[in-house]
Amino acid sequence: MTESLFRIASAGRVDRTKKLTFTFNGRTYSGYAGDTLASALLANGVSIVGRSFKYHRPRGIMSAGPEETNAIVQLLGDFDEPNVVATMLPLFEGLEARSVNARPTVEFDLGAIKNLFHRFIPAGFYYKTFMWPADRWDWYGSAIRRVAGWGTAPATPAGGRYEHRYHHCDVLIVGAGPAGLAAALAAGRTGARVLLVDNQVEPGGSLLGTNLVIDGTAALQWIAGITAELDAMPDVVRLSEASATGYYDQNFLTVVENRPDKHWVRERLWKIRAKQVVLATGAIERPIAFADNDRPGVMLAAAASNYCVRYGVMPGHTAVIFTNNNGSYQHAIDLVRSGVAVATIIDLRAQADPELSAAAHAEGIEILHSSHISKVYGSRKLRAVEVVAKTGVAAARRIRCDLLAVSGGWNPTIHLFSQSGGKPIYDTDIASFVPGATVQNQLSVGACKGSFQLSRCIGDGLVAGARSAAACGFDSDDIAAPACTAEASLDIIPAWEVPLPKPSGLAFLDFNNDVTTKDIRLAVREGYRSVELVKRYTTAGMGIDQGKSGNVNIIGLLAEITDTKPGTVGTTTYRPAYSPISFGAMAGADNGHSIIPWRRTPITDWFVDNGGRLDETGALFRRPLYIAHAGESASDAINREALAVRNGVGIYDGTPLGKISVKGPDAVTFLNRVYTNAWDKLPVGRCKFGYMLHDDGRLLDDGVTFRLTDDHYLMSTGSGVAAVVLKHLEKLLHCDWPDLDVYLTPVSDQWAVICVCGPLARDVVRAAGIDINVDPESFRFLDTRYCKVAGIDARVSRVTYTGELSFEVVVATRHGRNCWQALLAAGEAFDITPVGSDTSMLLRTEKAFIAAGLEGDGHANIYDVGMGWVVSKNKGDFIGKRSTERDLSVGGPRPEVVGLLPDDTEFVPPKGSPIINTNTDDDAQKMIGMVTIGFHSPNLQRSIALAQIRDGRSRIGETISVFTKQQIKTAKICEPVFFDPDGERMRN
Amino acid sequence: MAGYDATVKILPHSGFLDLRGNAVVRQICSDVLGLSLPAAANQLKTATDGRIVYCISNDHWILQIVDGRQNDVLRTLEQAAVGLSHSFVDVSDMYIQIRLSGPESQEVLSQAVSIDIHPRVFPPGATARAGFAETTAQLHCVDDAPTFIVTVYSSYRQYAIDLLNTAIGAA
Repeated sequence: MTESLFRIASAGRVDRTKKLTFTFNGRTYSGYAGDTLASALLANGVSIVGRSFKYHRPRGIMSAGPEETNAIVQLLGDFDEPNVVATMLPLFEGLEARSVNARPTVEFDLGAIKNLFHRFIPAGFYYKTFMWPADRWDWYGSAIRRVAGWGTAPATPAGGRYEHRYHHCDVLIVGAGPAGLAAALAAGRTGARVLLVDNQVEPGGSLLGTNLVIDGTAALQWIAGITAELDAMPDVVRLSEASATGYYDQNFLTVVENRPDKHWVRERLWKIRAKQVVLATGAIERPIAFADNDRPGVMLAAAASNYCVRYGVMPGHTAVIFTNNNGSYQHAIDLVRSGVAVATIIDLRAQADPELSAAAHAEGIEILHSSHISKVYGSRKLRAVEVVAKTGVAAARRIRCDLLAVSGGWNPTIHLFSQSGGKPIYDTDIASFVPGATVQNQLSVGACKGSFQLSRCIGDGLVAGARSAAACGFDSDDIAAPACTAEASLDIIPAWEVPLPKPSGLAFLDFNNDVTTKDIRLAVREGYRSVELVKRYTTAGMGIDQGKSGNVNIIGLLAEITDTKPGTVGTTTYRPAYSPISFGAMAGADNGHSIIPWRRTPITDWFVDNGGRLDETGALFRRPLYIAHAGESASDAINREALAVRNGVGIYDGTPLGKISVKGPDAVTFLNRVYTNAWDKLPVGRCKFGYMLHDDGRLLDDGVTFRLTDDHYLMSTGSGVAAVVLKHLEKLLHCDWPDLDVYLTPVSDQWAVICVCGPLARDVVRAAGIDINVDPESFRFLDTRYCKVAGIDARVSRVTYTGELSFEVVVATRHGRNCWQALLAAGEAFDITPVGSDTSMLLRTEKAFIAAGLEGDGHANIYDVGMGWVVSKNKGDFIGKRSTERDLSVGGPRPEVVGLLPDDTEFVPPKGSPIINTNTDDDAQKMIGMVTIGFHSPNLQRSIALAQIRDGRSRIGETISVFTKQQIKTAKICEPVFFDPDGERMRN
Repeated sequence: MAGYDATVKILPHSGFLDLRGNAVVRQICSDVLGLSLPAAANQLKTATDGRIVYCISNDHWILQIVDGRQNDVLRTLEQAAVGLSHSFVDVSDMYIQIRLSGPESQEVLSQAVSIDIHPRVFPPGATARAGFAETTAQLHCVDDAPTFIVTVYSSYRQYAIDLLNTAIGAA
């Protein structure tokens, strides 16, 4: 087939100087700049563009807009993408696309055999058919998924860049048709910040496909004039190929822009906050259900006219119009004037607008009133239609044609209005739903409000633009509405379906999901009378098109079947997205660096350079789990590091610990209230361990707090809960204790924390150069001093997280790396070993240093974890005191932390493993606890674990069983501290 | 791949003091510094010697000191505020600053921040503490190039740089 048979000479807005070559289903075609893929395919005479979802019926292009249900293609090559609507895809050089849902080819699709058995696979058949055997559902699901879908996800990352952008404006106008352009002009002239978005390549909307006149000139000139004026306004932003996909609370809308102004950006997701929104989203023509109304060659009437006028493409050479309203008469006339032979207008109504009828007759068009289509000939390409009178008295008549242009009326595009929270109402004048009362700062204008006359669209748009701008504080003079071509009213009679010639025929309502009129009747027979249930039972309106053209017909038919009114049936819920969104647009420019905001310490780079196996260890910090030598396994590295700390010296990056400055005359009172122990006697230059509880007595956090001056303390918190603790404390100060004179300042990022730990730690610190006496008598356990280490201003403290002699060196973050390297250099003579957080966890397990997030699981209290010694009996109230005391007074079994020594010394109990009491005579052996952490300890040369066991302390000495996925192992309950139980090493 | 017309640069280290206190403390600080501390959040004042004070809330300010004399300033402020309810903390290492500049820097920054940074709303001299992608930043528009100073917590330094470079399209 050659292009010239369908391309109209010198018509349309395509640029005939720019010829473009493209490939569809492996065949090469040509089109022009300005074409869409759909118009170019029509120009090349391609009639079958896809196969239907369920029955695999051949389908042709049906529309010219986002409502297209048949021409859904897979883009190939550098722009590989499924679910692309061919009617919205501008043609470009080298475009490659293929049909979906067709194997092996769209012309010969094996799946079409299902069409022969359509009687046996109506709506909902899978709910009944795949019920047995019940355990085979996974297999059914897998098989169904293989034959379903609208294309395939790309196997490689998409070409081009995707990005997100936030935007604020005074007035957002969605739709650049006549109403939207008028609104933008009126708002823009006031000086308001205006954003005009439109899903077409160029502004104009429906005007681009008509020959209407505005102010005595062609509508296209009016569009060009307004567009030029808008583009010259500095505070007006105009987006093309930009689809508003969602309307959320507080006038927040999302818009996906294809091929934006920056050539390297493929798609941009706009996140828009608008003070005022004007919806000028137009209306979508709907079909009428008749037998085989899905055959290639059956097209919406406005779309047929649009292809002729806008793209210079005839969708067929001989056309028949089937309608129930006046609007199609002008489309018929436009078709004739474009060179299409329009034989007949088949009108369901008894009469039409006299002037339109006369104009049609003048073009040589026959009009058959009170008639409808009864039959369509040609399964792969339309050959003829059969017409019968509604009364059935006249004989059926066959009319040859290759284009059947259908109009069942117009559906205002109310998706965004509905998403904004507004409720649609049924308008009998247009036999469709229109916006009801608005619930946000928003106005609907033009066809999306049910106003189809051009003069009214423009007039309403001007008023809405001016009103919206005025609501933002911008006023200007009124703009006079231009004179427009007079248009007849729609004068529609509702027609959701026409009688089928035989019961076995299929009349489609939802082309996307192959839902027929019979499916709706079946659903009602089976008891699904609510439109929401009918939707879910039949899948009507759930396809890619989201029921844009089909939903109102479904509602209308449902009303007829249930003997009610469409307004009573109501609409289903409109949900974002209005049109398909790519995953790329959702992801934006996030890449490997910026998906998660990883935090770094000043020493992170050193670990990266020296074999550190980095992982997240709380608060988004990436720290090394261990620092492996070349060829060393993880367990070997951890064992080596743990032995070094116990027998020599290790060095550890403790920077991620949370740090909060607590300052003010009431600081000590504040600490007394938030910690379980007493702080009155802590002198300046000393520090102390504390436990912080929730109101309910459960563990919140533990840590060491330093007294720096009389009224200044520095609290350290767990890395992962630093923000939680700060929020907790700020809430207490602001809401509960505003009388306390205390200020909190988070200073976590201010300080680098380096822990030198092990029997030789003192030697290393001395070797690095420290200007204070660090003898055990002068610098005791829990002392803290300002000093210089390796010439760097520091604060050094005798605190430990490993149970060993430790010096915590704290320096300003910018000096952290230097200080780390100075200590490493000084420690070289002592074989100092950098240590990771997994090793640190092993060492704390050996010492039973409780982790609030592991041993404290949301149930355990401070006594359960063996930390009752941190609770002061001689001070006043503190957060969690009452709840803790209540636990004690109620009594009963408690989940207590104990140690485990597996009988198999190589078996490491996995974290979370259930613990079963195997000593009971009860057959139903009960779970009595769980493992909180387990390790193989190189220092003890055996496996150890901590566990939370019901009444665990009274069970010390008993043997229990640890269940894992693979095995059941016995272990002995023991005291939790495995190493240096008296703490002599850390006190040194 | 081409990118937006904007550049990213890490600024030299500055001193920062975190100042907390009531209206009396605010007045004393203003007197000592010769720089009126703003009374409402998202305002700033600059001094001729380059010092900038950002108001975080009605009792919270961040003072930026570019000449390295933050310890002296801290001492002077502490002496002036003796006996008053206040908290002055050196937070010089809490923050790093990134300079984003160029004709399309607004387009770049608007990929990461959700607040309105249109010149009408966020002209030179404007400041705001805002969400910055997955973290928080103090934003400051310094000129109509436009140039923005983005102040983030120092542990997010690399994240912020990567994010802006990705937004520019240079990465």
